[in-house]
Amino acid sequence: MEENIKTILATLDDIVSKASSAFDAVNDLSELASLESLYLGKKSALSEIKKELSALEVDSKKIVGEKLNVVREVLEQKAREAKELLEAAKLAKQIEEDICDVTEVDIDGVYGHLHLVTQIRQELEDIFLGLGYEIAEGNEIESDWYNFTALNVDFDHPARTMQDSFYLDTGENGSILLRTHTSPVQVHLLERGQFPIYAICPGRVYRRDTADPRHLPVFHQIEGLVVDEGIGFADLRGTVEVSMQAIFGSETRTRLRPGYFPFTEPSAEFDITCVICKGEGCRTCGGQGWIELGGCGLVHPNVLSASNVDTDRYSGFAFGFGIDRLAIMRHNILDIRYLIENDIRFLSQF
Amino acid sequence: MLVLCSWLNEYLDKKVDIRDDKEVKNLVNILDNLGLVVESVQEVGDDLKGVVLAQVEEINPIEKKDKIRQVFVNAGKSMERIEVVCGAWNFTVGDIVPLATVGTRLPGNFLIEERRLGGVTSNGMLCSKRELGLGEDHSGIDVVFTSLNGQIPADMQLGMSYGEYFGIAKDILLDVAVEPNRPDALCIYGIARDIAPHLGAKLLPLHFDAAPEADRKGQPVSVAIEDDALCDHFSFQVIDNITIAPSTRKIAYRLSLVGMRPINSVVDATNYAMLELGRPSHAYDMDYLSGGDRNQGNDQGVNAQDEVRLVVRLAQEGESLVTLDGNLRSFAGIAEQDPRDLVIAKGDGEILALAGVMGGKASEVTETTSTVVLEIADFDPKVVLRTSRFHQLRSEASLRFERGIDPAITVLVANRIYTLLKESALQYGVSMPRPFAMETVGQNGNQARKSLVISLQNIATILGKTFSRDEIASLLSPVGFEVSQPLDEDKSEVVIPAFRPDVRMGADLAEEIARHFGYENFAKRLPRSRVVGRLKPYQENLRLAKQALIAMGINEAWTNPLVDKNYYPLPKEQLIMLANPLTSEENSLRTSILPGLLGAVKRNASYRNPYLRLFEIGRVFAKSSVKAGSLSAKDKKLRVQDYVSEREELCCVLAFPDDDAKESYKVFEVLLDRLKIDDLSFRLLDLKDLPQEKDFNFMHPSRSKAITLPNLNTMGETLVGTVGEIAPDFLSQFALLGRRVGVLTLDLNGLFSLQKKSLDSKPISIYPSSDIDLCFVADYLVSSRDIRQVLQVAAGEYLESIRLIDSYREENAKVRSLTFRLRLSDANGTLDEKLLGQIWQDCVTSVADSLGVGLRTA
Repeated sequence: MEENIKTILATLDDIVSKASSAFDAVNDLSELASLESLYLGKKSALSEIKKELSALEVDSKKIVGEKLNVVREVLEQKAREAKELLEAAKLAKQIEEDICDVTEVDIDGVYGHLHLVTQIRQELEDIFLGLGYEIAEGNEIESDWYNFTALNVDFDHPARTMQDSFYLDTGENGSILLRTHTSPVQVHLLERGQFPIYAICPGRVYRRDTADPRHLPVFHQIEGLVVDEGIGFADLRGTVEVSMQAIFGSETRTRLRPGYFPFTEPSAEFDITCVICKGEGCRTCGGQGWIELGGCGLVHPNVLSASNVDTDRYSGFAFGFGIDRLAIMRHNILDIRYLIENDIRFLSQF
Repeated sequence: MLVLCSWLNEYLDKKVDIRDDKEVKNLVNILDNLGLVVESVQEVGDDLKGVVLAQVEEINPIEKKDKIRQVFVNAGKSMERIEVVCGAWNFTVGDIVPLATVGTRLPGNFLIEERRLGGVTSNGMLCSKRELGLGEDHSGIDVVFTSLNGQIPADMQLGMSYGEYFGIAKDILLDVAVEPNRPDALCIYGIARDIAPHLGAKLLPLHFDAAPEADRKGQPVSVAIEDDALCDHFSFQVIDNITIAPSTRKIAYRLSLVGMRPINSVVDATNYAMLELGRPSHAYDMDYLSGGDRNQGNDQGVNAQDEVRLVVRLAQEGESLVTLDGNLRSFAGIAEQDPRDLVIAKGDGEILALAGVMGGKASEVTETTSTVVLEIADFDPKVVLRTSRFHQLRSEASLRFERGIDPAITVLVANRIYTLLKESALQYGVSMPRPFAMETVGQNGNQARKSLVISLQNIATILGKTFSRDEIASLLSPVGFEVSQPLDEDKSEVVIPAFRPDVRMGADLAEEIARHFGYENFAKRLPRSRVVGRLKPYQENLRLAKQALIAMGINEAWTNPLVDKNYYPLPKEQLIMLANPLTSEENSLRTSILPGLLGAVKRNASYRNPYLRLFEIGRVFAKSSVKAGSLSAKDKKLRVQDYVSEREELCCVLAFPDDDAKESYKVFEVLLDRLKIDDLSFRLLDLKDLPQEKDFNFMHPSRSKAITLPNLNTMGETLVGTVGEIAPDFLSQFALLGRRVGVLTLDLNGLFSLQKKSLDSKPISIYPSSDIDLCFVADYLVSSRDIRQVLQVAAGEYLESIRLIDSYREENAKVRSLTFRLRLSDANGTLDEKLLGQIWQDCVTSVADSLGVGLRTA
């Protein structure tokens, strides 16, 4: 073997050894890049040797060429490994630095809340939409006629002492008032003269009650009205039961007891099985197993006649209950006045 | 109404066992299911258990004590010589008195214990009527029998229970809620009638012995009714030979338990008969009526010559009466459309009583009364209602008259009162009262037989269940209705009992059938609407708006629409006042939601939560500008909108730390986006350009805008809302001075009526888009919205979006620079430089031409 070939091969071994230690010792990617250029670049010793290859004899050329390839592969492998290690280390470092506690958040103010009364009202509306009812609304200021007279509560009727009303200091005295129930909406529906009627009337009502933990002078009601051919007591019972089950759960049972409202005859109070004890009897229901929820009955013939409904053809039923009462019952609210105080600590609970 | 179980039992052939909890529970259930809701159940009557009859054997003074004495009584077996100390002096040796033995708990939870008084041991207590719960009498011991009257009655044995002797035993007191449509149930007999069939019992008929001289003629009283419509009949009966005594102990005890103070035999008898039979009556002191000296009772009967003339008439203006409760009632002489103040007066004009409501003080029965005139009348329910309502004087009598009394039991009531007077006279050994034959004046039309024709088919429709005639008869006849033989296959006549004036039509009878059949025994059926339920457009928009608002961190509030006019911070000319407010803080109706919401922010701030956003959607009210002629309150045609206007308002208050006018406008823009409203559908005006500018002094003038839309009818602008910030001076009223609080107020009808934008889709380009940045310098007369709208048109069909990417104002400068980034793209390829240059030029030229605004020069 020629002496200079030995020298070349020795030089190559020397390069491998030096480069290997250099690649092993490299600390960052820029240093790696300069090492790569130093050992594998165009101006590297390997490149110089390759350039000199043509000057060699065929055999020598083969030997040196093969050696060159091996060396280059080794060095490239070394560089790759070093790069992988460095990149892994860099990623690990970034990951370590990136550390974050995902729970370091405060959603205060990010999203608002619908008022509890709105939430329950929408729930009730959706239930009755599912039964094919329309949602009818009306004015909160009504005339005496729509609030009382057309509902068979005539001026001297004892029932007018039951509902103490806010009258307005406008128009003729005693003629314009804040509605005491949503029933005037029913009268407007009857007057519309389009039958059948399957409707609910949710809304705000006013009564001259002093605010206390159980009462507000301003509160919300939902009433239902069905007027169709052949509607009777059984339809009322069925509708009350189905809708209460939709609201309170399918295990809920309902009970009707005789009651009195001027606008219905027969009239009934309706109870549901206690939402807390499911009818076993507990403190909420006073051990009765039942909770009185609302009133209902068949629409009084005088009410239908007052709005010129053909009573030979049509009959109907109506029912109603308080939305706020439902809210305080369902959410165990100790004082109904929370509903109107708008304390953010209360509003944001629901 | 308070009801004693033992009292009900008197009229049932099968008694409810008061000592059996199950039977009592069953009774309560029956009442509940009949709509006579039992609100409370209380055991009573046990407190007289330890009180026995004892005979006074020896009375000795106690040394150095001049108010109390030592008394030895004999209370029978094993209690033959009981030593007690007593402070009363109204008895003597030989008298029979009530002794409360040691361990007895008297009414009021008063425990009798062994005590030492003045060196003497007291092993019990001799009781007054008040101590026994029999009324107010505390003048002395309730001497049951005095030795001055001779032999002790054979049935009175020493040591026997006082209660048992007088018919007072353990009882159940029920508080029954009687609905206004059940006048028949405002008495013991009526309730017994309703429950009898459900207890498997029969109602016992009413029978009371008439007085022995029931045909005694020549009453020294005559009565005239001025207006027959207001008094159907007026029956009157003079009773003389009366010595006023207490009621029998049983009657007194019962009256006390049901909440009526026992007064004397006459007054108690009328009250007791009313509670038992439902018919109010009133007794006048005849000695007073005939003008005699009340203090010289007349034991010799009445002299027929001093006839007293009574008139039933309306009170006239200027007249007055001191009623039994001691209050002076003045009358206004209302006789026209809705008459009130029907009175019973003497022929010479003096008013004696408010008919059906309350008697007068002057003619009341007193200790010395010896002759009374008993009135059993039937007054018009409405005149009684109006009178009691006007004078705020609700009595047990007015309650019953308002709802309708049984006109058919006048004689029964008179006989009942007589038997009660007789029993009292016997128990207290006083003179036996002697009634004259009762006389009646008036048309007496209410007793006429009333009937209804019912159709089985109609009943079946109403109730959703078919009942046969016989089934109906078996349900209704036990409660007083008579179902006749069928008129045809479908129809029958039903005779309505006089005590059910509330039953006027088929529906009322259907309720009676359903009540006695049992509401819970009907089937359940779900009627089906034939249409699909869905929200109306307004309701859908409302929900969209609410969802959009909460998505921006705004909480929904509900503030009181009733506000205090004195402290209302907005213009007050439009405020509607309440005619009858409950408190001055709630005396009028809000014209805007804003004050309520700001109040809520203030309240939250006081609880250390100053940073929050609130919205409310609700009604606001104002006086109507058109004022129509006044119509009667009862008139159907009265149009509320002629007097008041009502609309739905949305109000937002933004009080996060960085909130300001721009945040308010952002909320508005988001609402428009959610409601799919065209951004060009409204105008923004300065508040100073509004005719009603002064109404908006709560808005910050240089940081707020009015949202309007052109009104084609008036050629003016219709106000839809306002957007911006609360004025600093206004904020100070809510303790928010120094902050920026955003506000947005919208009329919902106005908002929802704005033009919707087209929802046809636009193609999106797959080629790279290009941006053009334009930086304008503009004064505050030109808004970013103005520039954006011009750019929108000028940039043409290639415009993808315009964004305001920067706004810069040097401190206190009158102008600011606004940088817009227009993103452009072409669905068919990449836009070339030349075209982009053209668009740039078009935009700059358009903004300069239409708004006078140029690019910022470097």
